[in-house]
Amino acid sequence: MTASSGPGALYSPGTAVTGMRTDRREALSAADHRRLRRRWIVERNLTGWAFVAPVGLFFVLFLLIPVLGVFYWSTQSGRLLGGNEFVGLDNFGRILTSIEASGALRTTVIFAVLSVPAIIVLAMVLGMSLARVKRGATIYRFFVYFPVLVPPIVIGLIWVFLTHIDFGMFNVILRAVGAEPVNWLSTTNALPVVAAADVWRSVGYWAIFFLAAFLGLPRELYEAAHLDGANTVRRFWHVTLPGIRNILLLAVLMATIWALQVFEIVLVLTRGGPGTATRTAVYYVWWYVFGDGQVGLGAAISVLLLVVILTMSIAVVRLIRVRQV
Amino acid sequence: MEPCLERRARQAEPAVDRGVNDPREEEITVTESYRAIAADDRDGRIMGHRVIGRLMALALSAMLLLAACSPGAPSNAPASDATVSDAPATPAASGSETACGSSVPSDITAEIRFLTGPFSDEEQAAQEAIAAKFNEKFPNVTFTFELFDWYTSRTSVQTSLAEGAHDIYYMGEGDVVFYSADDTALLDIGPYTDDPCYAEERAQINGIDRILGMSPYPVAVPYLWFPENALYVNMDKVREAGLDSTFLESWQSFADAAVAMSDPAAGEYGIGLSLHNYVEWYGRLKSAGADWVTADGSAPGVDTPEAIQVTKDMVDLFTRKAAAPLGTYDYTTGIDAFAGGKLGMVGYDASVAGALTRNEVPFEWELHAWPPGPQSRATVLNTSSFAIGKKTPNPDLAWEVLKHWTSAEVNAEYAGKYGYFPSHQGALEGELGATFESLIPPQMTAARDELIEHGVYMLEIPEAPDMNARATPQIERAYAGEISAEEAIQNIVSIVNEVMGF
Repeated sequence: MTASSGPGALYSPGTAVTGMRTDRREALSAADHRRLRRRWIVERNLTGWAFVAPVGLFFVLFLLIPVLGVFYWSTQSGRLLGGNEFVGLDNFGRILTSIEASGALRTTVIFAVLSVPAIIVLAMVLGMSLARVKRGATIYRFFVYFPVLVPPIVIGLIWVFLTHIDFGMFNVILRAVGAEPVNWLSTTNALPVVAAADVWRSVGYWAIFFLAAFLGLPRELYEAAHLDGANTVRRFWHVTLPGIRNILLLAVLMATIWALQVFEIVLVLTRGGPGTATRTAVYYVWWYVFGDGQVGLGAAISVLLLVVILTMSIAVVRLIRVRQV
Repeated sequence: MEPCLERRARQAEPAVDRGVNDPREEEITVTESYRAIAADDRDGRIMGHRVIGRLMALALSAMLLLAACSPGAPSNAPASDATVSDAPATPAASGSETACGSSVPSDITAEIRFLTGPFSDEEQAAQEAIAAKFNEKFPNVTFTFELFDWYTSRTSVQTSLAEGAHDIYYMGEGDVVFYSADDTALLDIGPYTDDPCYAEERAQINGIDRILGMSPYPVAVPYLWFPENALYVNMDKVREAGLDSTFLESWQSFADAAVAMSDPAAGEYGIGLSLHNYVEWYGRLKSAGADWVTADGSAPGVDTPEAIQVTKDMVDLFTRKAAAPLGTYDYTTGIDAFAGGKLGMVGYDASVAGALTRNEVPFEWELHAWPPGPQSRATVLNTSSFAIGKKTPNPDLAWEVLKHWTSAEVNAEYAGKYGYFPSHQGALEGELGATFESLIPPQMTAARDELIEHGVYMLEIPEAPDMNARATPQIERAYAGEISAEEAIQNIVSIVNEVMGF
């Protein structure tokens, strides 16, 4: 093979299959063919990678590396910058035997039990209502979705003013109707109030989610069910729910994951108090890492939380796949 | 399209294992090469994702290598001994008028960075005013003041010390003990404080020997002291209840007074507890003659009958509805509630005194030590100090700054205005003393001797703040009736065992 007839002289990147020179009879060795083939593979993928690279870099820098870092730090004790040492699984053992850990776990689970069902049910009701509204639908959807746009820190501040014992709006209304003011952030009320704030913030997001799901259901099924004599409840149970089953499972999963990670509203509204009433798992992560300087303990809690969330996600995904099969 | 060369080869010789990149060793035309590649690509036989996978593996390996080489490996050595000097310059350096003058030239151009706490609602302005006075001697020195949040102060200071991001650091007593445990963090100021030229100034600073002796080597100089949790009393409410300040002579009379001042139906309570709950319960523990650990430091010291009793006494205030239920107020709203007459008494630090004076509350109030416990009458005091980071680029200048910030001239005004007591004796005497007295709330002056008499300090071990932070929620659970006082104490014993490694 001469230099003028080598692959470099003949191969032009980007040439479409239909643009191949079909009149070339120069011979290529098997090695040349392999080289040409490899070059084709790399250049074909290069364009795709060029578009994906920025997002990939973001993913690596802000997701992958921090996650790996958390695993690393869960096996360390000491400070963030220097002075740390490897302690194996000691941090996990400390968490499991710590008197605060069981309380944090219980608080987090109770919070999820309080908030997630309320979010899902209210979101479905709102979604169905929005699906029926014709005039002014856009306005209603905006008002329903608006709390989602408010940062969680601001939500917490708003609820601080709503729940204040003396000048909070809730107690102002109660006094106006002749009722006794309520200590909204007492040890018994604080967690439900935090859950209510989270529901208020999150329901709009899932309402729009379900709205899209309801609008996607075929009308013919409802007409057929109506003809068969099914009432509203039976149509909902036998037509609507099965139709949105996968979306419902996904919503429950995502809402639960977010509930398990509640933090900002707790930090602003109650600082984890009174006592340990609202100290959730992620609050302890923050407290150990930034308040107490025990990065390893905070990282270990994060790893445990990750395991729980992964397990839940796998279970739900399998449920969805079973249905599809 | 013609079938792939490789597939044709395999069809011809099925027993031969030919890889995708291992076609028959024979020459083919360019056209055939292109067609074979295109066919493979169309049919998905080009193992592009092998290349992708290898690239990803390479990238991941590189990242792991970088992570392994990143800072986080144990290192107790200072970052750069070549640029950081622990020894001061010779005091009689050029530019000084006397043998004991400053070793730093007055025209030095440098920046000094502070990391300090929000001691008042106008802390930034207060610090800048002090800096302005320093600039009269050193006009080319600029200052930056960063205020940390109390809840995350430890991480802020640790990170800054490790990075050398600031030069001067605020230190409470617990901080001096904690941060000095790491010898890479704070500058050894012993050569400065032991300098004969500093002896006269040193003799004027109350408590300096105790603070200098708290750490393995001297790191901090105090500039003011204050009650960390003293009792603010609305005397109008006390008199309305038919009492006077003698109600503080015993716990029983104190508790009865709190009940007498309460009107839960009107949302008024005799006392607000756990508002500024830092060391509030610890003060009661000290009044019971107990501490986190025993005197020999070998076992938990909190589980004594007296400690349980004082905890029950505090719980009793909630049971009798003398204390506002937990969650009614917090650190910020509690001050407002006291100023608004909703709470007859509150436990707070000294900063409230200045705030109450500036806001001119419409009732007479006094500051007192907490009433007696089984063993003593105890109110926890704290001392504020400044320390120099070991990585400061100009230790001599930092020392000049620290001297200025701990001087009588500065603290007569600063301490008085914001309700603290200056550590420097000179700030209490002569003209400066008159300035201080004119600024300090008179209630603080009246309480000073009582606070000194009954003042106690946090246990001087690095673990003390951690134990206090973790014990407080357990005590609050007892206040809320979630657990008994005995259970709260047992939980705190578990915490002490865990933290101290018993």
